[in-house]
Amino acid sequence: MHRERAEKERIDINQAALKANEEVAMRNRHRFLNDNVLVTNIMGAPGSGKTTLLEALIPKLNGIRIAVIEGDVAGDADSQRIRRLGIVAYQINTYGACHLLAYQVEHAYEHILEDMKKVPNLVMIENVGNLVCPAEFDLGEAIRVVVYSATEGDDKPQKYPLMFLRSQVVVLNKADISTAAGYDIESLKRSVQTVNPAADVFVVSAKQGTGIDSLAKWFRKRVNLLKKQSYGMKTIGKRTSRKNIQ
Amino acid sequence: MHELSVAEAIVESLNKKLGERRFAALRKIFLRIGSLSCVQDEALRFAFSVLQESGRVPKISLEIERVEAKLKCNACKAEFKPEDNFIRLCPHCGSFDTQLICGEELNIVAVEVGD
Repeated sequence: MHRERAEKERIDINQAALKANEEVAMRNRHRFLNDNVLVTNIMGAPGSGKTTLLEALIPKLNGIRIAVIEGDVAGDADSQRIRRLGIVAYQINTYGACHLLAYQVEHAYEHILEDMKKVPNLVMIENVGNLVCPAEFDLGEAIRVVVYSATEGDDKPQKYPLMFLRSQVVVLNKADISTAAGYDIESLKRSVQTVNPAADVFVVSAKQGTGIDSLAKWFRKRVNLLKKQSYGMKTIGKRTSRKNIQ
Repeated sequence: MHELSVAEAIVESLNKKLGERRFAALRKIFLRIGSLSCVQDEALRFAFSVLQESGRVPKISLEIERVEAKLKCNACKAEFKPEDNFIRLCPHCGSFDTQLICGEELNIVAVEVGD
């Protein structure tokens, strides 16, 4: 036994390095599907306007039960801003970590259910401001959104390809000041398309409130689809769906 | 700089997989990392050295195999390596209708235990 241990032994592992996080993310995803809740992971650089976008978007989604999960290294300024809209918001502080992890979202979702006493239709997760790390960590979301502001320059999709490759929606924010920043919206759009031609691109100014309507429509359509599915579930068997929610 | 959380995740999952005793005898980790993943070799090595200083992790060397991104064009069926700034653009026919074959990996391939 000792002799064996003294020798080198190669053991095949063949698994994702972030398997532990991916397992929790998968658990989250199943749960969100069961609850018919649309969960969105909103990412982007610090200052790209993620919270401002939520402030502009949420009032346009009236009739939809929304909750927000805010991820920041420190402080609760963002969740306070969201609560001013009359929306349930849960703040996660990562204390140094530059991205959210699936287990933090699992925990936050529990708090949201407790606060709302009802399952929400839409959960918006605002990730820690960063174009690199959040792309690597699945949270169990159905939709990934990158907020990409015009002032960041037109080379960001090429510099941070993973973030743009893995997102279904790109919100080009601060369209109102793109010219002043020296970038035109068309070149920013083209830049996104070279990395991810399938992404839905929305040109907005969260601050001015322009372009938000079409983004709101996009979300409403998807939330309504899920709602329809949930009615389908209930006609199949109330007991099953209730059990799933608990 | 999320290499530290990547290193921690690797350590945690190997500890679970190998058990404490074999984990203590861990000498080498073979990793496969795609060129599109946002993990830097040097930063990852540094993250492991930080974990080693904490005493929770034995002295491990990392062997990192880099995988270049490769795509397949759905229009002309050609396989190609992406040009720097136009990841999705097929250099053969100019289509953007392409899919990734590899390049997003962040995998633990194998480990070596013992002296």
